[in-house]
Amino acid sequence: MKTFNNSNDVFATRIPMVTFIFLGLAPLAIVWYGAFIFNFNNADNLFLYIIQIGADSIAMMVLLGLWITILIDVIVENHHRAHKNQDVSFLKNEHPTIDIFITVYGEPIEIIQETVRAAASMEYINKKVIILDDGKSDEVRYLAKKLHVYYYRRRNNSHAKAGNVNNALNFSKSDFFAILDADHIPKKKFITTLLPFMADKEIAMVQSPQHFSNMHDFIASGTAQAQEVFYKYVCPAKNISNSAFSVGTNVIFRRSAIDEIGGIVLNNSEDIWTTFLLHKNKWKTIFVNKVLAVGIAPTTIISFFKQQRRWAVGGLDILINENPLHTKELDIDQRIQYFISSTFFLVGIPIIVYIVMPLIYLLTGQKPLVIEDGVLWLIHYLPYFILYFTLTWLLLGQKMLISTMSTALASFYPYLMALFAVFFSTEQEWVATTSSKSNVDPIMKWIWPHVFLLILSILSLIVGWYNPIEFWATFFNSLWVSLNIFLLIMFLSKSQMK
Amino acid sequence: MKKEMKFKEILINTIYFTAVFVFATLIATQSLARKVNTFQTINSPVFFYVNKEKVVVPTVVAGTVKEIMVTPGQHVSEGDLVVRIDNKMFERKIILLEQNAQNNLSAKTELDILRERRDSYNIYAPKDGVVYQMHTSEGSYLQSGEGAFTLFADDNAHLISYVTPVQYGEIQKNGEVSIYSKRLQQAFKVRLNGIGRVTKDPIAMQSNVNNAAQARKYELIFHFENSEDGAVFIEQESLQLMNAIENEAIKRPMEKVADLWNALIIGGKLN
Repeated sequence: MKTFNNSNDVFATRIPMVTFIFLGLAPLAIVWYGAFIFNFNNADNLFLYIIQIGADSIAMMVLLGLWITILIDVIVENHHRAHKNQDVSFLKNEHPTIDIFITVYGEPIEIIQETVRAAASMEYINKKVIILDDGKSDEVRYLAKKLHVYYYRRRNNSHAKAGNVNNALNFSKSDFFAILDADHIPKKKFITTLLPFMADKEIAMVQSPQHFSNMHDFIASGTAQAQEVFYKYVCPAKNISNSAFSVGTNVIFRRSAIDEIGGIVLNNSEDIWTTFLLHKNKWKTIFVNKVLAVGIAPTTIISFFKQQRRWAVGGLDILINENPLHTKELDIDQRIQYFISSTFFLVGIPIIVYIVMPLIYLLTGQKPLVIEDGVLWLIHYLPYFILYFTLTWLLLGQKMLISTMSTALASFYPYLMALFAVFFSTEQEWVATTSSKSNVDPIMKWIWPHVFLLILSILSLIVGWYNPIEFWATFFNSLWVSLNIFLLIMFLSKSQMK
Repeated sequence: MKKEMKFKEILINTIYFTAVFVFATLIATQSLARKVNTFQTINSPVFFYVNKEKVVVPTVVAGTVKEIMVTPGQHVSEGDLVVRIDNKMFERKIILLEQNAQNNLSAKTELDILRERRDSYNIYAPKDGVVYQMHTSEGSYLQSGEGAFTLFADDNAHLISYVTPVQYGEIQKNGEVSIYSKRLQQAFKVRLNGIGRVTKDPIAMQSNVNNAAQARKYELIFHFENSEDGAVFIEQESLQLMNAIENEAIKRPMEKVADLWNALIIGGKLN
């Protein structure tokens, strides 16, 4: 695939030529569609119209956020970027100490074993591998003994992973520390690739991407394309404005920087919050786009939803309680980047609206827009619609997978749960991605909205075609509902429940 | 313990599922019921109401009503005597004049005039029809020109119908329309003569019919092809459009599904 810049600079994103089509097309499609829907003359039922344009505005804003991020990456040429030196001599000259924290909470022992073994065999001598076991498992303790690594089990489990790491900082005195989730297996060159960037004394955090190996599972493959866009475009672009944030694993922190902000933030989204505080204190962070650890993506619905909800809570927490656009300590680029990343999680609102709106029409005949013969609306809507369906091709050169659309559709529930939780400030329980403790809930507790919407969608098709007053409106809404039915059925049937 | 947990889990899942299923079905059924109501309103049988020509018959002379010869509802023919006004004074005057007429020329002239007026003390039915209402009673006083009674004329009957725009379209397609009287077990031909008022239909608007234009009612005026047909009907009697009666038998498949649903869930009647 032809790319824009072929340098081996770890900071450069390799942008395929086809992405320029996206850059040109996206604003046009958005404006063209907007011209139709933001025209009040096209409004039908006023209440529904307001909801529709509200949802569409959020969707457009998220799309534009992505567009801005990619555009910045294209515009800012390599030699303008502040080059951070990967100074390999740093390791040889200063012999920095580094502790590798492996946070464990009930993951399967086979996986923990892989991770610990890999961590122990990473290249670099001045390291200490420490298992931080909140699962309080003797089996894991025995494993630590067998593999000659350190083991620590704190007395309680307060503040989950964040508390776990902070506790370890009490007795860890190394210059740097890395965090690895128990299911993320590091490569040999993890330390030797990332640590040299710390030669620049202003850098507090070096983050590498999360990469998943289990792509044959429905949910895992469904999130893969979104993940790829994130790590291929979004994270590297953030380097330009010094707004790369931690994702909680595969990361190295500078001990003194963390001390300065008072430890890892004790919060369920400690990754983004810690980075946020570092930025406020004028520390620098960088993202290195090299896969240096391989993890396991969530495969069951419950673990997937919990993960999504956790990420959404982090982002929305910053958006609603901190309002990044007005944070004085950050410069304007950083504020924009934090704003874009956190507003992404509002996408739960347009998703649920897109599911429910055609149902409302088929059941009650009420619709937000006037669609007489469908032609005018279709003309305005089609480019926008095509843009959505070709997004993965334009950005990654891959065709849009059904699993991607399906999991994206189903994600409305954890995102809305997160929105609710942040608004009403309820405490969330942190659960590791592959923890066996994650599947205590009955499945319906997490998928009842999807089952409900599925049943209602099927019934609404029958109701809608009983003496339809407007043929074309009924037809298009039926198409939309049928697509949603298909995606919901795929999600519920192909994903693992447990 | 594990088996117990598993059972509890299955139970909770079942409860969730049932609740969700019932709720969704309720919503859909409610929506369907509203649509069926609207459909029935739009496609309800079209009724025609007979409107006969109302004739108010006045009295020429003033006077007290002596005798009413008919009862309301009674059919009268043209020229039938309906009301007699008291002519005692009048007759006495005539007798007086008759006595003087041989000698007195002016008396004779006046007598001639009065004799001509004699008939005015009788009020006759101006055309064939049914007496609707007496505006006076025996012993009451009537002013000159005041209405004595009203009758519905046999001829010139027309029919009024209130239809939806959809039905209006259907009627326009067929030039000649057949209507049916259940009472007489007979069909009649009528012709569309004009449109009266266009009003908003409250029922259709209630059912949230999507298009405002659909929630209108047109007042249509028809005449009998054969003008004598109108005679047999009484005012406001209703007849039904024949075409609609035929079409009711043919329902589109979706409506059959809806009827079945109705019968199963709401316990409605299966058509």
